[in-house]
Amino acid sequence: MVANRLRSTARWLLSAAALMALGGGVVLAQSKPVTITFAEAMSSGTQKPTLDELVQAFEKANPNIHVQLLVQPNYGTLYTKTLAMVAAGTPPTMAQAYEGWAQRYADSKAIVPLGSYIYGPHGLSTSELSSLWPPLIADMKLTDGKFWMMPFNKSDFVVFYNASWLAKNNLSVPTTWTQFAKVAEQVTSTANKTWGLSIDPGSKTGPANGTYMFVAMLHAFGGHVMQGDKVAWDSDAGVKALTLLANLVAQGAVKIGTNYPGQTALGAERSPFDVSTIAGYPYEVAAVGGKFDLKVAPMPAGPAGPGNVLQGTNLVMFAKATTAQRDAAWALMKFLIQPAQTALWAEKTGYLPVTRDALPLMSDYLKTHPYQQIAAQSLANAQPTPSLPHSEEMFGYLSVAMQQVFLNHADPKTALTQAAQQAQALVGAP
Amino acid sequence: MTWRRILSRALAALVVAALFAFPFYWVVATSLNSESQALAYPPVFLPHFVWANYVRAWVGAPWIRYFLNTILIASATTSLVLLTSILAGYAFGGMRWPGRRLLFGVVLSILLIPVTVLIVPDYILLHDLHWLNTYQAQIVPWGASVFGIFLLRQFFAALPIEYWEAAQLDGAGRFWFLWRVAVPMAVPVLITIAVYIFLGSWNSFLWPFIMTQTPNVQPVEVGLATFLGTNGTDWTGLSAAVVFTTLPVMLLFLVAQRQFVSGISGGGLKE
Repeated sequence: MVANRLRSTARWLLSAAALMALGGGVVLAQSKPVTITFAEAMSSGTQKPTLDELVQAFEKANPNIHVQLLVQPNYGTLYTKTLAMVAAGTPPTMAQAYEGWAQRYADSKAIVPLGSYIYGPHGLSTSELSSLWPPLIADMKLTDGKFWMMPFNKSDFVVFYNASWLAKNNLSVPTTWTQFAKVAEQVTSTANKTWGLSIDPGSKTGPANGTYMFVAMLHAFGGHVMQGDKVAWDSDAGVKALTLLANLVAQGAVKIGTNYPGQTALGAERSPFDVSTIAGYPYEVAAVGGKFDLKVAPMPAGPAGPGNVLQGTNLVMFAKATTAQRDAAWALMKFLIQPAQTALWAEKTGYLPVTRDALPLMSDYLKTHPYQQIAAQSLANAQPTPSLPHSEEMFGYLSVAMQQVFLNHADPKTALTQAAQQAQALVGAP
Repeated sequence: MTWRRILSRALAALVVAALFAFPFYWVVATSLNSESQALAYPPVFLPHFVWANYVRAWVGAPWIRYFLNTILIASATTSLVLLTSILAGYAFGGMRWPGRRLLFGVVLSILLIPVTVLIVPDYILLHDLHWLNTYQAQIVPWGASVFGIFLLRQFFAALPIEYWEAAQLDGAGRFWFLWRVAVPMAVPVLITIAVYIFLGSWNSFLWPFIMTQTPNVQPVEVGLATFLGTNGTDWTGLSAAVVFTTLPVMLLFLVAQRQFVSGISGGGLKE
């Protein structure tokens, strides 16, 4: 195990050294010192020290570039602060952004398209571009079909489960939502104070993990968030998916909470499952603390097959930056997607490696941590969230619909239709 | 007083004390347990002395700086609020002038505007003043409190006019009367406002996070927020940080408790 880790570390170091020695298309010949600001929300756990480590490596390889990290505690604050900075005319050089935020920035001409950088003299080679996972390439574009973003901390949904519990009770890992519901019902016991799963459906101002888990279910049931310009989550598929969840809530097999309740319930051995993004892996491991065998499975499939949602943010570059700052920001964006860097990022944080070329560097790690392979394979079924300027608010209405169904026993069809109408009013008539 | 009565009172006091002390004990216990023990069910009530949580939390941020910043910001904000509340409260409650009711209504209406709505315009204003990432950005905009003005306005309005008339006979002006007579009588109200504002300033999070950028001017709450990540929460690290940032304030309160209580009751006796 230790030998594997050493081998893996040595491989990164060699790759990084090779990159620095050869330039690797990353080291930028800045004649004058330049400082760039990077607004991000990688503030806790292993994310902060890993990003610090990567930025230090970048600065070492590019001595004339200084990167100032503007760390925010969460995405909500990051968005508010970035909006305020843009409004004041002092945006950061680059920032993490969800697709919807990027659309809003692009609409107000606050960010620049990245096509000229991607295909420019210091751009990505054909093999580098094709090594990016296909859903991530689609996710780099906005509604105009142009590249506006570079992938950074990407993830998708998986099922974390207590393998010891399932084995002890002779239960199989569910591969469909119907099976999942059955197992969740089987493990639910008032006497033992156990249930299947805890989720956070979010609120009007803050859609949460549970909201996007439902979107993954929606895809698995054959539904869509948008069909063309029309909000379409109130389709039959959406109603069936929400009804399945509502029945589980009514039976006590799914409980509602806040602040990653699934992690807490799984760690406390109250539930055998947590449905969350793969980026939560280090937190799940900490919550479990070796008490049982924690394993990862792909998301259950629905009548339309497997369904998943691409999660995490991309990087955008702001228009106010000088040419030298933009060049430096591009160099950092490119540095972060190099196989060595994205492999390090993935192994330490739980996020996905954004390029397929990183997987050979992670071979030893993947043997002992197959969860990354499962999450990477699940990308094939992961759909990006729509890049609409008000997508956060849109999903907020979906959160409200879920709460109304779970807590007020509202009819799923009525609640979803009402939420769809409210969301449609935000995005405009179809 | 019978033994039974003494015993029942002591028992009741113990129960109330335990109710208040338990949340803090729970934070201390969580800070000394592993993450899995912190999330265990049935709960692990006894600490297992995992000191690594404290080491991890301590090295994660410049806590002493955060702490000193918080004391400076909270103290300066509280002092400023007391000053502005006394002046405005007396003007609205202790003086008669045309339009005072209307203007007081306007002041009260500020309560209807949520702070979050004003964040972006306020950010632009502070940017134009070159106040971003400064102490004054966290003090001056909060230097007047509608709550403080309201409380003191009510107090000064209820003060018998005879006090002012008597002071006038002795040749006192408005300011002399305010500082030498009215304010000493208002000490209990002032302490209420001070505690309310100090706690509010101590706990403020969104404003300093948006308006500041570097730890050399940021308060403790900003440091604590870093334990609430985008994919989970570091409960044990957060608890450890809460313990060592709260402990100095608790000790200060315990040491100054006698003066604090006598300040309230002393002020009350002068009424």
